[in-house]
Amino acid sequence: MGVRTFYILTTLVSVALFGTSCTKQPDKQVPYSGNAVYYWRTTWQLTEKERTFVNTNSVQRIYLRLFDVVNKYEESDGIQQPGILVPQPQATLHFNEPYDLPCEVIPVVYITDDCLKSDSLLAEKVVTRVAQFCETNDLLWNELQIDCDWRKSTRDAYFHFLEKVRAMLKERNCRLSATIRLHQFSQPAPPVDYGVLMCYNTGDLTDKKTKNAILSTKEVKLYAPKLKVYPLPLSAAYPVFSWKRLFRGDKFVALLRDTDIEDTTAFINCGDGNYKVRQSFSAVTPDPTVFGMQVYPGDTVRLDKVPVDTIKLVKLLLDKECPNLHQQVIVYSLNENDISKYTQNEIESIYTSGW
Amino acid sequence: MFSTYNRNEQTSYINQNISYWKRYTGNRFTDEQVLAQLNNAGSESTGDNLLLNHLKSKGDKNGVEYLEKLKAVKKAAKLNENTWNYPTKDQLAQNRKEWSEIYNFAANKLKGKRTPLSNRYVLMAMRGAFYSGKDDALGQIWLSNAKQVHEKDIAAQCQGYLASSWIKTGWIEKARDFYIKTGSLNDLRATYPQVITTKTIKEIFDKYPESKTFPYIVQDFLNSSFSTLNATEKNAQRDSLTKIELARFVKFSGSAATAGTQQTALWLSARAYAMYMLGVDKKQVAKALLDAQKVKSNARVAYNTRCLRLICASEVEDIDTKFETMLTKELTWLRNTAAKEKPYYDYATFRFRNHYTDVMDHVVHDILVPRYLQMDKPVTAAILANVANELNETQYVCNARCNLVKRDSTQKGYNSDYGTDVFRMLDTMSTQNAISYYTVLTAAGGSQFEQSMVPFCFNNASYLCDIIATKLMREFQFKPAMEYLKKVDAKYTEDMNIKPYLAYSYTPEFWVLQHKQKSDPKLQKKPYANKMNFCKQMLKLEEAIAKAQQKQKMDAKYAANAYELAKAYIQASPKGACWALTNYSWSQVQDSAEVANNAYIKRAITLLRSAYSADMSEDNMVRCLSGLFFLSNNFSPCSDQDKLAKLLWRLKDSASGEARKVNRCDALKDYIAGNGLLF
Repeated sequence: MGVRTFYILTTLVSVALFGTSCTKQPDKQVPYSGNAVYYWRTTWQLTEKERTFVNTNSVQRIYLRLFDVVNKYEESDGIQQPGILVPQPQATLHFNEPYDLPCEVIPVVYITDDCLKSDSLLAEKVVTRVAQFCETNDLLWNELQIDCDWRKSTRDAYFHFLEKVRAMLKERNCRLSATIRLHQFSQPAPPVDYGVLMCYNTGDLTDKKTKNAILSTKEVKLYAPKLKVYPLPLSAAYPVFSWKRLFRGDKFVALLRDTDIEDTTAFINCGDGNYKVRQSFSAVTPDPTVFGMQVYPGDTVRLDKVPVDTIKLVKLLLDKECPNLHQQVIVYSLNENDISKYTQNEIESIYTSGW
Repeated sequence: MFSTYNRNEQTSYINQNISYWKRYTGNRFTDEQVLAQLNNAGSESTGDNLLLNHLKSKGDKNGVEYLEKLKAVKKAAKLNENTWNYPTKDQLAQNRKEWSEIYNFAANKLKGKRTPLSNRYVLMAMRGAFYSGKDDALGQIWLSNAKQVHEKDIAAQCQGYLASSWIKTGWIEKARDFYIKTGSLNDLRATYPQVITTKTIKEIFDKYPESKTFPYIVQDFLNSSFSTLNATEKNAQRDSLTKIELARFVKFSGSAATAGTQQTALWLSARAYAMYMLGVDKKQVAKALLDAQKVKSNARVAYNTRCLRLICASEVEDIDTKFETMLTKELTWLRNTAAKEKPYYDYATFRFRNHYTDVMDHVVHDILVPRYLQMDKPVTAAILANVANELNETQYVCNARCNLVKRDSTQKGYNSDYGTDVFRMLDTMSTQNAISYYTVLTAAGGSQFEQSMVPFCFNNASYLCDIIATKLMREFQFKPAMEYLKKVDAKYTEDMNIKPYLAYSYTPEFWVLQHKQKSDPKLQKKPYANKMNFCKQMLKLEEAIAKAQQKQKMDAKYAANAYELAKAYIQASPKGACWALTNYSWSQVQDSAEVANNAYIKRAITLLRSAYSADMSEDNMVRCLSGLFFLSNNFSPCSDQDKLAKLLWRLKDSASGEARKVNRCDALKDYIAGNGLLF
């Protein structure tokens, strides 16, 4: 039986026997409840505000990104050797201070889908590395989450990878979860214990016409009905971050980092999240190889941020389709720059149910 | 155009380090051998320890000690957090201990008398401090040693560790102060989310009047202001705000220049440039720049002032012998300076550039060329454009003359000399001017100033003769064209971009659309010879019809010759398959007005009309009308083309023999397909 056939059958059987996970499967729930947060940086070091956030909002667990897996040329003495691309870990989390929060840790590994076919031992390598990472850094864990922007073309390889990971985790009495992007709703569910529905990155950030590339209710409405028949238990993750997308004409140039969009010497606020560059200056981008990229008058910056009301509306929409979805709510992500843009009341309203 | 800091300056620690150790060991080892010692220092194989063994044999205790310690560094560095084997707790602790020992060892070495290896020990100590988590020690080592570390590559490495340490601790203010003091510019800029204004600069100046960051910060401020004022999209309010800010800067830099710092020349030149952007009288600006030049400064600041003076003078001074003497001196200096400065690769243009090539481009293309053209001196303008272009072309990776990239000897570069400004100027100037230009470059003609620029020009007689021949061919001057064609070296023609397109015959019927015509196998061996063949044939046919016209013998033979000529002209025009005979490029999207005004098309129309009248046989009528239909650009109903199409369609039904070939006329078939209702 091919992998694809197996999943189609699994899906059909689960739908036939149990109806839907969200409406008729009280036993098929995410094993957690309460508040959680993603931590998606390369160094572990919390500011006072971030600690306060965790305490004030009774955050019970942290989904901690440990490392990425990407295809890279092999390195020898720090120099890339031309040859065959192989999956390798990068941007491993470094602890500048020990982990001392009273919250449960759920390790997360981000993997690019082009890695999936090239290494048959990938699942073993990932699990072993996660285990060693947690042991070295004194982290207790009983679950691993995989984050991957897989498509139909890479689905089989991804599911095969997850199956192997899941089998290895079972030996350690650990669960496996995965992030689910909205577009992945049209595909069979991955073989994991539960999924986290990413209610962000819903639009094309390189398209100027995309009004809000982080979260659009229109996109959510499109996929929300599929929740009813989705065979996996799900939690939802909501965004509290912003993007500054720089465009020259209609062409996307870069995301801007560390740029004060309210600096009126540099920008004219044209309303509705659109800013026009008034004064040329050299900007900082998240790309470490591009320094001092010149921004010119006439360039435009699209500021994408998600108003709390939009998040509440999306929650309401999804709640209707899947009442169990908000048993656990995850915020993306724990970062002072982002969370400080929201009031405590607003954060609370993201975490709690109801309008 | 303001550059007191080379933002593209890259230091390669690996290369510099190899050079250092080669020199240290008396240049007896190859790059690979040095690299083997430095990179694989942990290995005990003799092959990797050539330098160490050499130093041991020479009794160089210090050198041996350093290279032995480098082995410990390499061993410690092998523990990488980004490999599949994530380190265990014990391994991490052991690693930290190793780095700590490395730090202690190197820091101790820095306590004694300085040796040639001291700077390397500074770097080693900083690495040790960084990886063993001694953040405070990291800053202390750098502050007490930075002044002695003159090797930029080592300094950049040290600053890198420092910057990472500050970022790690999240002390922005402290980090900013440190970057200002030490001049770590990239990191400093990242700490300023806002636009840099006079206020920012003044705040730094009040605290650290000798900050090393001024060349960079001031440059960033001035060039950003320039970009704003010269933005394509005009905005009066924005420009006015920028000018207010520049006026503030003029005031501030004036006072900074009198504060008696070591950077007076920088403040004076920056003030002059701000005045220039504000539109202050250029003579006043030139005087301010002269004042800046009189003050002692580092080479970069002095060069910057010199470039600004050249720009200013090129804009305002009268063009006379005195000016051209100055220009000769300054452009020669600029060209040599540009050639000396390490370029950076511009991915947008596939060119290596640097600040001085940019200045050369600006002075020549934006200022001098338009001024010389206005004075009706196109040859001087073209010579100047050549100087700037050649500087760029030798830095253009696709050009075979670019020596900045390693090229496989079998690989021929793309000939970009047909896409330059100077080519466009030559292509469009009068033939006589092109010949004068050729004389300046090849026969020491022209003015003294023009001659002074010749050594910096791209100077290839075959290239020029071919262009002149082409221009003469376009003017129907086939005899003189043939003289120039004879001077074109056959080897040169091998590398011409249009070579494959020259192998098309001009004899087939033009009404078979261009893209359907195939190159002629007979011409593929020596395609360039097609140009000469074409000239000979045109000359012969033109003479024959001129003779017939003289004798008023406009008969069927005349019609046949005129038709043959018309056919060849159409083929050699932008509408034909042999466009490369008289052009250097071809575009799918053709300007219809340009095509209609093309001399070959005009001549072909005259010839077809004349041939049509000379022989009223059905065959001749059909083919002449087909030609006229093919050349007609008016597609509206009741237009000439429409009438011709209807006429041809009728003839097709009644004609026999040659006339039936009308069925093969792609243009007519396309027209009928698109306008079927008309018939």
